[in-house]
Amino acid sequence: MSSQENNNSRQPSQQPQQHVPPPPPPRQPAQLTFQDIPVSALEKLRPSLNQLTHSLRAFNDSFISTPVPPPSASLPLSGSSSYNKTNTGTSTPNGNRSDMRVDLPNYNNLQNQFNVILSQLESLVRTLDASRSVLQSTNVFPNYEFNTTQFEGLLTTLLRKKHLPEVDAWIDESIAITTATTSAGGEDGSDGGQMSEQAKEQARVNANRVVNADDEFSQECFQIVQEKLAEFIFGGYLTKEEIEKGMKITEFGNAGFNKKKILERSKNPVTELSSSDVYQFISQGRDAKLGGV
Amino acid sequence: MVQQLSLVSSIPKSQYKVLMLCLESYTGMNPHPLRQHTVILKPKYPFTPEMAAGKVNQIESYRIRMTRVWDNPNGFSSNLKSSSEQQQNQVKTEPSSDSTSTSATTSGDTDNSKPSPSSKQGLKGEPILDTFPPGTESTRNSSIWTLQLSDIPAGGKRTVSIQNIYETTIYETDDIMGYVDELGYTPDIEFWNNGVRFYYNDIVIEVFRLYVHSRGGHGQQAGGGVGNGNVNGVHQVSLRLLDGSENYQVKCFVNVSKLNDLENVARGAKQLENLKNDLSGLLNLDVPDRISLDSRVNSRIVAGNINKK
Repeated sequence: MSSQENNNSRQPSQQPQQHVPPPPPPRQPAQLTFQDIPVSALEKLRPSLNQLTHSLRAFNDSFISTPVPPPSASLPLSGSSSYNKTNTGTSTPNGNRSDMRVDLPNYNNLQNQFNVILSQLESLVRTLDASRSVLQSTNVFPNYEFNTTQFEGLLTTLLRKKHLPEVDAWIDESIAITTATTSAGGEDGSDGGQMSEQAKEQARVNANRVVNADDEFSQECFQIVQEKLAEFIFGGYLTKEEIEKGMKITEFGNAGFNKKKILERSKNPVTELSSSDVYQFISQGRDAKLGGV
Repeated sequence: MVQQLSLVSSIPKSQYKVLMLCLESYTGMNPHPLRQHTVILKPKYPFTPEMAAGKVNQIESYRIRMTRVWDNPNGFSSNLKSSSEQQQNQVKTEPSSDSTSTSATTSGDTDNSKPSPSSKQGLKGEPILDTFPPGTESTRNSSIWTLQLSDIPAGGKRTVSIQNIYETTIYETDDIMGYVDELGYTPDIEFWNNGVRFYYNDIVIEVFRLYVHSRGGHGQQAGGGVGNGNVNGVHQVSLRLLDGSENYQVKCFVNVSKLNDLENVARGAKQLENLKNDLSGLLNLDVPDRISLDSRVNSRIVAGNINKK
């Protein structure tokens, strides 16, 4: 089967020579010509599509297959619902400390993968754009050797041009968000005019929800981290006897924040010695950089 | 002679307490005080062998460090916690301070024969390079001094610094300065080292700061500076921090007594690396700069390094 595709079959073709000739009658077999197939355009697309699918799969896998210890897969927090869902859903709210593991993929890693995907998408778009006219005017059809009855399912999948309903929903949503955010920014484009006020408002709310979802998630993460931190910080520096005597450890982080001292220091800036300066002084005495001392 | 494997770091003053608490928990011990008075000696007569081409010049002269325990007669109580607070509070004289501020901060210290309840007074030490004024006596001859020579640390890419150190202790001498003089050495500078020590397995962890004579470096003030006095008949001068930023130096080291004891060298290096990992985040332990530990006189790599700067 030959695989040229016309993305827009309604559009009259500007380059009729690109059309693959209709299949010859069955009694005249075996003469398949590939000269009319836009090989170079398709071959250019192949590597970038390959890369992209590979990256997307890896990205997906890094969420799914992060190794999780079997007994308790996720945070033992009953409150953080969306969090648990994204992990594995096998939350054990009463999991004990030892098998508690927080298994999130590395953030930096994700960000890097995401950036790679973005650049690959961009390059795909550029490649598509470069051979736009060829691809737009090319039709795809099965040739006569293809057993259409046996592989009907495959054929319909391959030749399908319409988006899946869920894909359509994604596209609509994205368009709504973009228009809502641009019109919210005061930029009333011609597209905005076509929507009713109510629809616009709805879109704006949706957009806000989507945009802020990230913040909410961050907030939630931060809260969890705080709670966990409070559990882990070791505070038992004093003995029972010392506590009964009333001893306290208070000025933990405050030692450096004496305002007066800082003020004084800013008036008399001091040169900070590095370790090597100090050891040079110990080893070389007066001949070191601090020689005058 | 020992081989000393070491890693060093420094921390700002604000982190001192945190570090102390951590090291106390980590080593499971209370810190031992570390107080030393060190005099750096250098050869009296410069030795300049001819540098002949094609000849390997293996003769080097080294500086010597002469160290004794520094007893601060008026300074520290036995309680180390309060002494560390004392350290926090004292020595306000910045390197750039002029003579008026020096006298202002040290005026309270002049009468130090009275034990002051406040911990505001500065550290004092007996300088041996001063001529001691009449009516005072010197403890220089009654102290036990240790002479220390150190090689330049081994080169190459290493995870810890490895340095050979030669040490000997002088048990008894009637005239230490005369002894040094006979060795052909003359005192260069002196400094005081004040801090604490922890022990963990074979590792010794030192957290300290260096002090120098407070008049130091900014023109010799007449009369040996202000704030001097005598304590129990011993001439004392007030000290100031060498490093105006009040940072603490941290040095972790393992001594291996035999040169050819490679097994213990490897083990010590491993221990230091583990310590480095355990303390990472709190302390960034690192290999000290090899050139800064070169104590040779007229060292060409040191000179080259300074020229680069």
